[in-house]
Amino acid sequence: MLPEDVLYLPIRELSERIRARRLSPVELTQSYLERSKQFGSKFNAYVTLTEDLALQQAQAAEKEIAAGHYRGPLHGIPYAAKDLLAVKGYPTTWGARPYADQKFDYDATVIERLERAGAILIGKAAMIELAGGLGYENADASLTGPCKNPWNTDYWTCGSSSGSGAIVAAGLANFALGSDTRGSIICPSTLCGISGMRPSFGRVSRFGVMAIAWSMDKIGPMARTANCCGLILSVIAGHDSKDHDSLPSALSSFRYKAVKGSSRPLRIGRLTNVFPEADPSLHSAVDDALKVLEKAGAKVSDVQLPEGPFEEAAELVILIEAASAFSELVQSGRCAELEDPLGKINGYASLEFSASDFLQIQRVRVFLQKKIDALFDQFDVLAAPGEDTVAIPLKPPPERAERRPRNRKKGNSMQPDAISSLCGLPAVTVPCAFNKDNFPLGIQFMARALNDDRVIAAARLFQEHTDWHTKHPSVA
Amino acid sequence: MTKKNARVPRKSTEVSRREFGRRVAFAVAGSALAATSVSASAEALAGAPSASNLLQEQAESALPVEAQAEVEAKLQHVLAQYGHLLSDDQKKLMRRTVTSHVRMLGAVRPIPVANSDAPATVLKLVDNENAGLDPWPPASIRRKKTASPEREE
Repeated sequence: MLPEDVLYLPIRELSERIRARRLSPVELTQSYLERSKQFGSKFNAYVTLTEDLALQQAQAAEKEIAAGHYRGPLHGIPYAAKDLLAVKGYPTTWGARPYADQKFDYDATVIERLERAGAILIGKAAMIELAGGLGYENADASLTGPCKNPWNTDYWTCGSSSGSGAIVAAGLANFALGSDTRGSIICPSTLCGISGMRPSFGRVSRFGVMAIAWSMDKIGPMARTANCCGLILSVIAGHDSKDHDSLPSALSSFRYKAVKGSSRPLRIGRLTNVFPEADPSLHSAVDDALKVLEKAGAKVSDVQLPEGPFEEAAELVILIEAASAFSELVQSGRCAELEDPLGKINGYASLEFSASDFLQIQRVRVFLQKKIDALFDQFDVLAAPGEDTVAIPLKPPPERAERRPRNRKKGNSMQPDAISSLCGLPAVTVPCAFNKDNFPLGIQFMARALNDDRVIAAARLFQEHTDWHTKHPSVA
Repeated sequence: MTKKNARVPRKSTEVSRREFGRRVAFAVAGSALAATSVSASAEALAGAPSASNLLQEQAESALPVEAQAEVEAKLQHVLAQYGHLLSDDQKKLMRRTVTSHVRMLGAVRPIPVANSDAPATVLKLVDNENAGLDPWPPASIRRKKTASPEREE
């Protein structure tokens, strides 16, 4: 088995070794598989290991590279896929008991694209049931139980791409695919201390992917660095006629060039009205991160998100579309088989929304989209904490269990992920500090739709001047 | 708030579907790590019977009379259709859930939209990949309708 530090290397460094035949894709795959078998259950990270497929793909990669046919930076790199992505012949459970035995006879488009790039699928990652599509209120709302954070197994990874976050953080695979309807890549990436990216809506095909909300679902990479995310996105992005909302090639294709420097300074807007009730340490971590970026040449100034019912509109779109996406499950009563109390009943309530309400929301959505888009006339990216919390315990401390929610203050009304998800904007989160309890804190960048390169550029610039992304938990 | 912003109602205190779960969980985190000031029932994360305390709290705060009537109407409709599948606890949770939904609608409905404000829903006539390359109707149909024998040559 390869040493742990090799398994935590970013894609670029692994691929250089693989290309130069100093690292065997078979040995690399075997090492990740071995580690996944050893530690995967500790975190409830996987639903299925695809060992046979992985070894077959690894041997093919090794043979091809030896023959001089190198496909690119993902050739021979092992990854995991959230278990809502169809992989031919293997269970695709959507993280939910009613679909525990489900199989598809085709691959999702992103799985096909990664295979063509020579990447090696080693397993299907655990997830919140139906990616939270019918709602959830418990970390154990999953077919495989609560996903445990590798930084501290008494804590949750966040969801819904829970397993993907744990797998990358624990070095069980080099990268993972997650899905993000409203924060499901950004949140677990932040809490697991990894780099995660939600691409612009329509850039990455969802064919073969469980739908929650067709107008909001996105697929994206979760990896060691922003640079890794760029490399992965360049493979999985692009038009797919099998996805109704896939953008044309001219817009969806993503050519990634990790060029240092830029013709002009990056203009960063520091969002000052988000997460107003979050721990101050989250905001101060972002301030420190932005100072690093300023020193690196970026121009940083304060800005506020515009007011508007972004949160409500995002949630309502998801509720209504999910009720339709899972209508068979709801109307058959089989939603009772879900784990979560809210998930068991929420679909019934959501079926009550009217068509006129849905259209009103979708009309307001355009208005909100224009509002947020106007901000990007002044800024390349907007920066905010990755999340509004540091860590989420799986079980509450005893003294907490007796308290009633009488003192609940007004919620964190300005949620960047509601806005960017509703409006289809790209976002990246990367670790930017650790708190005194050794939990990672993150900074997220979001940009105008289709400016995926800018969020990557901002995060990459930060990572070129810091080493937070090189830290990883002590898994053993 | 400027005049322009005034067309958007100020954010209310309701908790949405996903946010509900997040806040419950985050609130517990706040206790352990002093990470957040959002406070909620830790019982909820533990899956205790009072799992919907946040939604309960919402239900407790008054809705406008019209909205209350809407909640009742929606609730009765749900229960008429699916009530036989629900336990008493689930029916209580259903009331809170419907209340939450109506509250969120209350934030979006008042926003004025003009006749020309089209929704973000699209029926695509052609695959985006080919948009603009092949005008409607497709060339094959145009030929049948308009082409003379000479042109077909």
